[in-house]
Amino acid sequence: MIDKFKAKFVEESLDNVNDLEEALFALENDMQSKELIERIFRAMHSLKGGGAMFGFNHLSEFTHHLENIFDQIRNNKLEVTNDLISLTFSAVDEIKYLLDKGDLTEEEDLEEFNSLMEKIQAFLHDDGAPSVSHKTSSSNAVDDNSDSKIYLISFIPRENLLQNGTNPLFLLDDLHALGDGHSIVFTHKVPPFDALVPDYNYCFWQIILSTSEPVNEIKDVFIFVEDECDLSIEEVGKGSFKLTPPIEKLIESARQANSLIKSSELKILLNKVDKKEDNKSSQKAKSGTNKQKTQLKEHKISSIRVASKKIDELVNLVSELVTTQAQLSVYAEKKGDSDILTLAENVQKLSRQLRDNAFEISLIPMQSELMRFQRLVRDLSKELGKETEFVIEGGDIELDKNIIEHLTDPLLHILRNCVDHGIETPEERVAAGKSPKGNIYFKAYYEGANVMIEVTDDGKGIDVNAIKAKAIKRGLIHETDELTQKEIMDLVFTSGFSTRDTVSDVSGRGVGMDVVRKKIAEIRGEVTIDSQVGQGTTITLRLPLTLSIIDGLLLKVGFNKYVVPISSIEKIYSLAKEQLRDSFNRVVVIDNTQIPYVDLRDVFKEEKQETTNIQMVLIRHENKRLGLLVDEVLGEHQTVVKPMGRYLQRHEVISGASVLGDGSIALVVDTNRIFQFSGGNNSGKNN
Amino acid sequence: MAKTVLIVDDSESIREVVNFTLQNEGYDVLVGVDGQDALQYLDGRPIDIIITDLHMPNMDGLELIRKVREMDNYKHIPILFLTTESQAAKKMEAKQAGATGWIIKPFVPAKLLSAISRVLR
Repeated sequence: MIDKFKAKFVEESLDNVNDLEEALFALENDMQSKELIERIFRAMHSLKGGGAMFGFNHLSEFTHHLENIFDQIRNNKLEVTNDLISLTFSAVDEIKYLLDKGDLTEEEDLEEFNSLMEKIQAFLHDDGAPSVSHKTSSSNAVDDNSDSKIYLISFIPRENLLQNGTNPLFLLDDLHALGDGHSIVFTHKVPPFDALVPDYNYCFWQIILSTSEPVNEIKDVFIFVEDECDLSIEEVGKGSFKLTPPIEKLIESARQANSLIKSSELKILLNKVDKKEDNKSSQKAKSGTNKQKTQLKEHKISSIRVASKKIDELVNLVSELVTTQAQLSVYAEKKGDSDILTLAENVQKLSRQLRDNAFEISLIPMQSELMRFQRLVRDLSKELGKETEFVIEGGDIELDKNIIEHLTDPLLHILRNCVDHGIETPEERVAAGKSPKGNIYFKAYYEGANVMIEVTDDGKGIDVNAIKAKAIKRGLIHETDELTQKEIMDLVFTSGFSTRDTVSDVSGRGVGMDVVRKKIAEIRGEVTIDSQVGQGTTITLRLPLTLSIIDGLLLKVGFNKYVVPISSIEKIYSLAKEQLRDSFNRVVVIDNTQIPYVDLRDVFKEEKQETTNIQMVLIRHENKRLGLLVDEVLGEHQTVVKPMGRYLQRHEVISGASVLGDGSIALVVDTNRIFQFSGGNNSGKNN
Repeated sequence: MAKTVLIVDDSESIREVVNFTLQNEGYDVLVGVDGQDALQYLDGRPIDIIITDLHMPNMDGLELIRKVREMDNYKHIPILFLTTESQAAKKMEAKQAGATGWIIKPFVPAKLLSAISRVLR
């Protein structure tokens, strides 16, 4: 999973490097500036920390030494010199190289790397570059022989232990997780109630613990508090610990006397016990502690990470199951055997739950990406001297992780464009009669079998004529070409197109809208652009919900069957023929509301049968409604959507096909596009 | 109820790794980009633990820890800090400021979780 963040780290690091470079330039003119040195130090610190986390070990090592230099400068132990600045500049170049290449493997690269490292190290006064020092393992590290040993642990915390947010009981818990033990609490120091300070710790503990873990494990438990307590860990015996009457007595007397158990006394008692105990029981105890350990581990796992391939496989199998289940249902109905029918219904219920479950597993929320977008808009606006409000709607929408991965870059680019090209400067906005603050709306929502992402800005919009002029200049179209507004807008997605004369720093990253379209197309999505000069631009991404299985309503139209996703259905009406005959403009009045409709038999050129009753499925798309006339509503159908072949992919209102239980095929109606299909003659607006 | 973790780091990638790891583990996560930014979350809402970087612009981790320890609502919650310095000096400074424990960068998610489970359960 670290890999997933690697690209992000590189991007972020490049920002850091830029910042570093900028600060260096400034430092050249003002070598005393504390602020600049701090900035440089911080950038290096981030590079170092992140580098190590994301597997850029050379980078981390390299910046570690640089960081040390600037740390010394920070602490007035070193002076900024021109040499140092030049060296740091070449180091910056090396950092960029390392970010690009990752860890070096080429001989040549390594040589350069090492020589630069030497130069840097030469700058440090002492060789005390305290490289990330690993704790030297404690001298009394126990041999790896896993035989159980008994320790007496005396843990005497200071009074302020609780004030640092430490809970001593957790420490005891952790100790008990290592093996069998007995803890003795001494409470005699607790003052009378009126003298008691609630967040003071007055207790101390002794724990007799038998464990097969090395003593370092015990020390590790106290790692956060070792400076706030007196701690002693003494080995007092071997084998497993058993609370025998003599030991009980010892504990009791220690408690009464309010004095700690002496390890020597315990040792004697334990050795006595030890002799009585035969090997068998210690063996047993050993397996006992092991068991406890595994139990603890099992207990800790509340989520697991699974290779996404396995999930894909699961989803595939579920799809197959759903198809098979449909066959079973058909068979059961044909047989009319009530037992089989009940079974089939149960299987259907289960497979639906299984399906939902499997899909839920494969989805992740967009949220994490949104944070980045927000940051981009903020930073970029600042950089360009613009004021921008970024409004997010639908951030909890979940998408398949593959889609999210493919989505980030295009969206970043779109947002960059919004801020850079779309939103005007505050002065321009005021002059245009707008509020000085620009708005960018990011809206994600489900729509039938799709997820829609709309990025809208209220900036200056796209001038169709400007696009056309540019396209002619670039030789993309010919002057005499007649293009519709939509076609002209589409030119934005042609490669080698940029509406600005000068490529700005911001959008000069080599990604154009053509790449956006290409990337979105890779995940079978679509990009459309809509713009009004002076009012803003909307870019709409339409993405397939990877849900390759949907809940559908099976409809009969003519002699064929069609599926409409249930999620987009609002109501189903049964209409009398007369209601339609009286209507004109293909609008039917139901419940005092005018509802536009299309006859699916016309859309799909199906034969019209004469029926007295006709059914209308009312679908909804954003705030628009549309009735679909069908011959018959057959019922619910768990639809495994299979993509259409290459030749049918471009079909306007069909998004896929599904195999029914009886082996026949139903076409899946694309409810969003059917609105466009019916559009034009009707606004279709509700109310 | 899910425990709430406030993470504070100026590095976005670190924030995201931590955020991702913790959310996966079922924690509710609040995110601050520096000490100053983190303070806005400390408005009385329940926060079970804070994980903060030390080096940050505007307000560094040490100052944040000190501030938190002065707040009645939060003065006893565990605070872990992220550090690349495993030197004792930095650790001592942070502990004196009131930190409960630390996590040394680089860390793998399991290490992060085990450090949290030391002080919060």
